[in-house]
Amino acid sequence: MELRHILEILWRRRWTAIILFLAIFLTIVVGSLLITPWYDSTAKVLLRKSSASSSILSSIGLQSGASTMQTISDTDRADYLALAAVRPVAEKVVADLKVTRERTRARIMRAVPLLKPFLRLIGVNVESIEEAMKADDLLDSSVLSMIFPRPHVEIDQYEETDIIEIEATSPDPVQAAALANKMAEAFVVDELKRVREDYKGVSKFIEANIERTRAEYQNALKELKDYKEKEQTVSLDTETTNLLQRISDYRKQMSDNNVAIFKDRASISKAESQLSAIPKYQKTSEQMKDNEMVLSLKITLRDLYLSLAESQTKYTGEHPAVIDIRNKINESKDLLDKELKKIFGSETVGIDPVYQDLSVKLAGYYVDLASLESQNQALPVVLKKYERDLMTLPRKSAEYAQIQLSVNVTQDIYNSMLKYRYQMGMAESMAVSSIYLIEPAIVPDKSDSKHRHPDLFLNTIIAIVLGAPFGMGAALLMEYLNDSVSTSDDVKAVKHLTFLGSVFMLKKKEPKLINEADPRSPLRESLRTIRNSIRFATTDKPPKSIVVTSSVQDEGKSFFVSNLAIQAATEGKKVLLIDGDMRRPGLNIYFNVPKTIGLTNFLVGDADINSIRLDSGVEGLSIIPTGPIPPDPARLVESKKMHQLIKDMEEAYDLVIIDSPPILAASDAVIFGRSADGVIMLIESGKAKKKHIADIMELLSKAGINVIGAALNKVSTGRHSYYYYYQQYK
Amino acid sequence: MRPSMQFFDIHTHILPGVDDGARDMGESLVIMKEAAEAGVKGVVLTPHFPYGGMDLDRVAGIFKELQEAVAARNIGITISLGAEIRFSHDLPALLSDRRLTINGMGKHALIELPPYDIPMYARDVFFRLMTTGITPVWCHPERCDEVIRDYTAVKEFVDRGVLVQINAGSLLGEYGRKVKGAVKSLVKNNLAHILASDTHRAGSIKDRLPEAFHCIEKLAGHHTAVELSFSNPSKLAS
Repeated sequence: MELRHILEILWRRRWTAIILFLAIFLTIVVGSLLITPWYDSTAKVLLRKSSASSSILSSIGLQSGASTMQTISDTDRADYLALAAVRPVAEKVVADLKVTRERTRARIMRAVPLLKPFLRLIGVNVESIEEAMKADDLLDSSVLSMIFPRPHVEIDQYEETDIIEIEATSPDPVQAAALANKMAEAFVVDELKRVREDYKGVSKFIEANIERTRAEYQNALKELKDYKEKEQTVSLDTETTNLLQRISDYRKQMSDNNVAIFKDRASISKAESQLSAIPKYQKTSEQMKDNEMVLSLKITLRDLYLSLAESQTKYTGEHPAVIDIRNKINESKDLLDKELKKIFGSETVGIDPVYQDLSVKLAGYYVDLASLESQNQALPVVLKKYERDLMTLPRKSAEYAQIQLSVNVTQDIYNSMLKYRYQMGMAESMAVSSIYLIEPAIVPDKSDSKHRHPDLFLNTIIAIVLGAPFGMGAALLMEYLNDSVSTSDDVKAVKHLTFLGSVFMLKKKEPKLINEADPRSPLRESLRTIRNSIRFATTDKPPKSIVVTSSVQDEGKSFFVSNLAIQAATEGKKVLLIDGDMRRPGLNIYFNVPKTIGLTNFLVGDADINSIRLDSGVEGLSIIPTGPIPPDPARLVESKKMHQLIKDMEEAYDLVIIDSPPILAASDAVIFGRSADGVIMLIESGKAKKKHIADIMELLSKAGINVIGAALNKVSTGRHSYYYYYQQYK
Repeated sequence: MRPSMQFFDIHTHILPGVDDGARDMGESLVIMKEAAEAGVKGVVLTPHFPYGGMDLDRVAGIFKELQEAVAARNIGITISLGAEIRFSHDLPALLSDRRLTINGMGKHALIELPPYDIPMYARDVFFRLMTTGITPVWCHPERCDEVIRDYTAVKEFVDRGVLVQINAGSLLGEYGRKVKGAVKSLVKNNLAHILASDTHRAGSIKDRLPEAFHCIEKLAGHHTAVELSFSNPSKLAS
């Protein structure tokens, strides 16, 4: 479709487009004006895991391999917003600020007059217009919260940063700011509490161990002192010193492992409790314990650590045998990791990022735990071997070595415990210091369109952007849907179809036939024009026989042929009108002719032509009515006798007009058309479909039938009164 | 009123008692006086034709009476006779009686087409008419439905030499918004040649013509307004 064509349609249907545009435009603009405005206010909270605290935590083995991320990751933040108990925070805010909102009922009562007394009558408590808000309402951002504005809080990550944005909206700007600030404050308090909680468990463990190791260390020192007093000097050879050093190292490693195991267990129980807070993930931790593959991998791992320790007693760290075992350990760890992830993966939980992140972490904790536990199972075996070696020393040396060893070990453990405690304190204070309110919410200005909603200017633009295409679309759709022929232009648009003229819709009391109508009536004028059009449409010689048909039934065909015949007769022509519609004959409505005798009597052979040619009552016009309706009209229409009748009548009359059934109802018109000089289509304005007319034209031209043209019937006079025009003649 | 404003009205129904226009000589003379005051220099009397059993000899007689009465009262308007002829396929034959042409000169004839669609044979009829030396003047095409839908339908006729006469009332919106829109398009696109009043009754000509003049002035300039109101129509009657 050309652009010009589209523009034409839009122009023609501009009122549809304009009305729809205005409907959308006014709805949005008036809606924006009527709706209670609401305001937004935003507070920002920084939520960061400092890299320093992370590295300290990992250096002391408190942060296991799987979670040594330097800063907080996107998934962490997603976890945070999903798991960070936003609702408990909101509950605290609701309780502290006593947030209320206007009841929907109250708004409706305000908008609809007389509703209040009615509601009171049916027992509704109309006086309670405010209601306390629940935390869920405060966090619920539905469309309703816009149509009926109420206090509302939304928490989101600020772009790609560690900043959490807390945006509060409320019909009252002061309340909006208060809500945002209160929410931010509660959020920080809650988060700090959680961080401290995380460190508390480990701190407690370390504190308890510090006391114990210090006592052990002091005891060992005392024992050494006592022994030295008793036995004078004892010197140890290099080999023994090395042996002692090795035993001491292994013992210290066991102690470190114990701390790490504690941390891992704490992490696992934390992650599992997070998972179990989401009901659909509850099964996973159970499965993790029972899996056979996991169990056997754990045993393999323990055995590997055992042989690692054993070979380390024989070889240096670079010996191929040692390297081989280390590789095997790594392989087993990988297998374990995969196996654990498989357990989580088998869950039908889709690709929920929170779940995935937690499950990866959890698998990591389990691998670490398994590795540490295996080491701690292997170490005593190795230790026992060294201790046996110790026993083979001379009694005095062995005793001294034992005491010296115990001093070394307890001192080391005590020292590292002190170091842990110091680092824990550092890490905790750093974690705490990286959570704070960085930008408090301020009370928005009532006239500031940035914080006032709805924004009339913005909505006006939206209304235009939305309304214009819808308006134009509606106009084009109307055009598309309206496929009927209604004006002379529509007829002219049909290929090879000549427009002969219009017959206007008659008023109720107007005479239906032109010989009864006023000589200057529009009806007469129309028929005169159509008659002249027929004359001019056929250049060579005027047609002697014309078939009149329509596309479908009830387009006014009988009315039209009757008037066309009368018009021709009044011009002084000798006219014969044949009612060829053997399906629904209609001429007897207009002329006083019997139903019992007519064309069919003649065609089946028992009537004489003169007995069926009747006087119409109009000078110069004779009629052949249909006669009894036959069971198979097509056979009669096709008969040679019918063809011959038309030919004979053309000789006897100036003009023969045949009323034929609608083309879409029967093919009679085509058959009549082959015998006659031409066919005229009668089209009822607004009824016949453009497509049908085009199809009919193609059908007729394929059948080699001369289509004289088309007349439009029942044309609306609404546009401007032609009666005014004709009044001039009266 | 500016002194420069003058008119030559070629479409009127002032001839008394012949059609639906002025009913008697008195009314005719009242309208004539009003016309003179409005700046009308000449009037062509164009009764509907055919109209009942209109007899052209009788029409000529009444015209003579009116001419004498106008002269006697010193109204200062030259009057001539014509007719508003209803379009039909046999116009060339009908117009062989030259009394129906403007001022009986056999050069121009005022033709009225049906108000709905332009008959398909109108081109043919106009062509044959022009071969007899008569130029058709198509009166108020802006009131034809087909022209209202698409004013460019007129262009084809103008290109073939048909003259177009528009009604003052159309410009003033007396026949509705759509007719007004159509006539404005005609004026703006140089598809109108003559402005006339199509007066039937007293009391209508005085303000309508000057107002229509201003309308044309606004749409197409002073020069065009003068042409349509006086220069062009005055040529047809002399």
